[in-house]
Amino acid sequence: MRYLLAKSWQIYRKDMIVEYRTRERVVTMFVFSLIVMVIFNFAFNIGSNFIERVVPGMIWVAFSFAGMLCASRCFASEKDRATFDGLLLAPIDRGSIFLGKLFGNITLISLVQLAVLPLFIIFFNMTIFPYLTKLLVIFFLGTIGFSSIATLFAAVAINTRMRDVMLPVLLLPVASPILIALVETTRTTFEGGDWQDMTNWIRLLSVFTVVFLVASVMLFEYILEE
Amino acid sequence: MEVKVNNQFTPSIRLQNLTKVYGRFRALRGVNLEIAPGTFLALFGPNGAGKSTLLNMIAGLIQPSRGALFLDDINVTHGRDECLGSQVGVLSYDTYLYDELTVNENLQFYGKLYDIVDPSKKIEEMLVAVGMSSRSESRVYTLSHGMRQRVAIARALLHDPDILLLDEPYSGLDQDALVTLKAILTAYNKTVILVTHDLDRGLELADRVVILNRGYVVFDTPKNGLTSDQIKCFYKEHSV
Repeated sequence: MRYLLAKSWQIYRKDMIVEYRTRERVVTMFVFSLIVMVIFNFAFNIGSNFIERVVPGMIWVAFSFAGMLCASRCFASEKDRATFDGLLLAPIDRGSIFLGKLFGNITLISLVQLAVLPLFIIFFNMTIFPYLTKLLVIFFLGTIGFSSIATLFAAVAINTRMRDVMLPVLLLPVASPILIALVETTRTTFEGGDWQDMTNWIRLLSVFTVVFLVASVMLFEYILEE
Repeated sequence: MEVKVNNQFTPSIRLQNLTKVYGRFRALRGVNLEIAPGTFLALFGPNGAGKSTLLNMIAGLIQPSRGALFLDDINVTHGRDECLGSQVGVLSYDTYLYDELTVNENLQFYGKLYDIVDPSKKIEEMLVAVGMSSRSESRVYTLSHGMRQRVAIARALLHDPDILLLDEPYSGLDQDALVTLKAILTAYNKTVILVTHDLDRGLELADRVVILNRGYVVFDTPKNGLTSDQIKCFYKEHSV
């Protein structure tokens, strides 16, 4: 396990250095999320009660599509630049490639969430400080679960001709339980609900996150076989 | 089709009835080869003969549809452990280098993936050997193709592999890089499989010649006693 994580760390570190120097994915994700926010801002009247019911969905539309962009590019960039074979040739467990990419996706999606969430609050005149801890837990669980599935399906999609279309087609149906749970728990939080009010959704989110994380690590090697 | 050269040794690489099928297309058809340690094998063949497929199988990048592949008598057909994986080095037209990282960062990355004990020292030695020590802090995207290939040579040899697989390594190289590569290959005394369309360069260093055509081995002989013209004639006859 230590060996697996050590190699994952090397791949993660390399990806973060490349991302720091290019800002390729983070900027795209941030701009996309901003566009979603601006469009929804014009679509709905700020200050209405309806806003609290709709904003959680808007947040997770923005973050899930930004997350798909992130996951898609994590393998596509390796394939386009012909560096993926370099990773496959290395004498490392292929699970460490998956974990390195997963940690990178979680980091970048979290960074974009941290940058965009305050803008959502400003644009839609929301108050989140009383619920900050709950939101962080929900975002943390959801990001890991969504990223696990997205990273796995991104690896499936890179070997197809229509990979940009294939990823959302494959990912969204499988990720829908997690997305629904995230929207419901976020909405309950914004409405002032307590942990007890969202126990079932948190359980669903946690179980899906753990199951998909473990399954993704185990299945990744077989997905790469030609 | 099996063409055995010599069965009086313990092979470093053994291919047993290797077949690879992509849908209806058969890239390799029952290839049998035994390659002794230290052999420099030049693998020729027309486009689509299966040369790169064969190399990718030995490298572990793809798995055969049928047949078996042995490295040092260990069946690695469906996967290999980290120890065996580190025995193979690959140099191809793709350099496997990250443009946004420096030369040194790229080699440090691969050094750590290959568990090299003191990567910095080894990297320095390799960069001197390939003539790129003055550009170690340059980002790869600033280098010419020839320079990148020289760094790729350093990357392929960094972990001191027992088997070196070369897929069209001469493509796009400048004169300096060609000279460097030839010098390194001349000094390299382990198993080499070289795929190239350049018959003269391939024959220069090889001690065994194999020609693939349409997935079959159609020619397999030691180079001793054969002239380049004879091999070229045979190659032309069979590369239709």
